[in-house]
Amino acid sequence: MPIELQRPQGASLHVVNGASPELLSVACNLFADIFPEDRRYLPYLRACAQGNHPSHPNTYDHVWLVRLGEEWAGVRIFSYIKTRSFGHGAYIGFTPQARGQGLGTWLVAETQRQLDEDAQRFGRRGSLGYLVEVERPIDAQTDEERLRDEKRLQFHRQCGGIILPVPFIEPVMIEGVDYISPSDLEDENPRPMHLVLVPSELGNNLPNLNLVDFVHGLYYDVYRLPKEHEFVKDALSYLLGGTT
Amino acid sequence: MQNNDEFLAALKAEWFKRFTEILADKTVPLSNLKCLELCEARCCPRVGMRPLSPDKIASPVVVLLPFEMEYIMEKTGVSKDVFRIWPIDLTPEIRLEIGTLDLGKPCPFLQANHLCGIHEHNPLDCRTFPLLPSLDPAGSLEWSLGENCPSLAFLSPAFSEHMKRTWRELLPMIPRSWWDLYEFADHWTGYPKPAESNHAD
Repeated sequence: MPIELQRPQGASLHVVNGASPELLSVACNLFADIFPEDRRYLPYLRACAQGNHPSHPNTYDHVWLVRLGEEWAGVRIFSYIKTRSFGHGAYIGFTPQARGQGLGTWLVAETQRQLDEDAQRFGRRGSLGYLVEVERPIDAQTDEERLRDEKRLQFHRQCGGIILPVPFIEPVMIEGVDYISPSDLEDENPRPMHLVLVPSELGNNLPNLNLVDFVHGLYYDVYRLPKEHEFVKDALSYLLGGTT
Repeated sequence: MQNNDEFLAALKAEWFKRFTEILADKTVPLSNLKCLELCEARCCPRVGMRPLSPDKIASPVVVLLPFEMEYIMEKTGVSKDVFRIWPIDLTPEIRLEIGTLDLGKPCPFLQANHLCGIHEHNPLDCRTFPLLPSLDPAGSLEWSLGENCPSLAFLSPAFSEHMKRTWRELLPMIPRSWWDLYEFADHWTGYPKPAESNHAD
């Protein structure tokens, strides 16, 4: 069901863009604190804050900060895929003290609102929602990791997320970007993930989701994988057999 | 690898045993549904259903339980090709294939007279309809009703309770990922025709 929530008391959203170097710095610090394992992706955050980075030709990107009272509490990075009718949620995270206060579901609702606005800006009737890649609890190496992954997955389920039945491998990075070199990511490997659609009201009312469009949108338009890439073939193998 | 094969073989044997027990249970109260009198196979994914308005469709998808596709294949002799197959991963190394029927892979067992050609082996999802199970956030079963079933008002409470008990007993065997697939099926009617797409406009 679409989420309609009041803004949690004391919470505010702040858009991070090229006009706000101070906010960009806050966003980078907060991102590094919340996602320490992903610090090497900080250049991605900086690129997304530009909105229309040349290395992301098919997406319109957003970086948001959440403030709760006097503290910076959370960071959100997401994109509208200009060539499709849906978005991609890259990161959503909060400081430990800000968790459990309804900020996440509120932020998801705000994301849906922004994507809807973006969809209309790019000539669509509305947004169908957004895709998010979520770690699979079955791949966790420790109980702690498994609990964390289950919690993350459950969060998306509670936001109305639909786990799409496609074998999805998350690429290490968008192909051909000019702000991270392959050597920066040499320790990273593609990972199997759950591909989850968090539908908008419009998406939730569609009787028949087009999995091909979702997979193509994420792999070709966001990650910019070459046509016929094995990840695309694998993801659609159960639906289409050998064709992509 | 051998351990995985043994695990899968044991799991399959356990599921087959449960299906046989469920199908052999003669204590099931009558559902009291007026299927033949009132229904037009609205809960069987079938040819000709796609153009119907949503209020004329009770369910366009059947989701089989783990190994239920294999069970039906063994009992009826149909090939795997009649099913749409989706993967669910139990571990990084162990994948189950779950059979479904939808508007792109319509039910091959539905006869011209709207009777089920494999009633003695039919899927639990079909047997349970118009009761629809789902998992609540705590992992407990909850139930809704297929509102477009024309004989819903006749559904026997005793039958409902029996089916709910059957599912409660199966619950520990059903992986969470199967429930995710079942949830997905609410948003899936079958592979789209070329004219259909996600584009909202």
